[in-house]
Amino acid sequence: MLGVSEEPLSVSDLYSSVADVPSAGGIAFFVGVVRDEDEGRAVTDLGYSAHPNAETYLREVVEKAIVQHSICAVSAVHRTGDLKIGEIAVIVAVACPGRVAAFDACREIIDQLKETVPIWKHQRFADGDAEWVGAEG
Amino acid sequence: MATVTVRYWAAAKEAADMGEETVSARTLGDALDAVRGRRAGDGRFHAVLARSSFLVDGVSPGRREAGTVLLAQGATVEILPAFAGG
Repeated sequence: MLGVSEEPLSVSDLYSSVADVPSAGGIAFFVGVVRDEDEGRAVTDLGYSAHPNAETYLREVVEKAIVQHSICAVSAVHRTGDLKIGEIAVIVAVACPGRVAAFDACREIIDQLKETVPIWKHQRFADGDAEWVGAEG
Repeated sequence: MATVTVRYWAAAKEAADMGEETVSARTLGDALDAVRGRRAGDGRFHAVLARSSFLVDGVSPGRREAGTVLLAQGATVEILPAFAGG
């Protein structure tokens, strides 16, 4: 599974998508969830939006990781739309022959996703204020 | 000079107060100067633009100097604010 989803994300769906690969000895997960504060300010909810080509950029991130690590199976999905505290924003699941490669590849994919995939976060605070995260520095 | 469309996303769309606009420009640098010039004194718009990346007809110009990126007639320049996925 690879892409951007307006529907809630499911860890079990992602698990199923990378499980049952006979050459895999370990599956690493990163699950990003919505936190209730940011730099000391109470957050009530947020909205993610994505560029129409976000999936293409995400695919590039995953393809680079496949070249660099011995990946047996990989899934990466990012949520869009309005999310409440505790909801899942992103899941990366990587199956590899062993744990070191699985952790390394999973870490690299989530780091590169954050850096290179055009997705934006609009954060709403308890005091009524709102901001686009990182947009103004 | 080419007539080009400048399209704004997310924070840039909010700061520009519009989804897109048309400018006359020969290069990416000209197009950015034009939209900045229309919002002289708008600190928020300038701050968002300063942290944005750009696509010209869907392709990133990479590290090329904006003034050297030529625009074709009818080109689209997309303004992508700083990414915040994850």
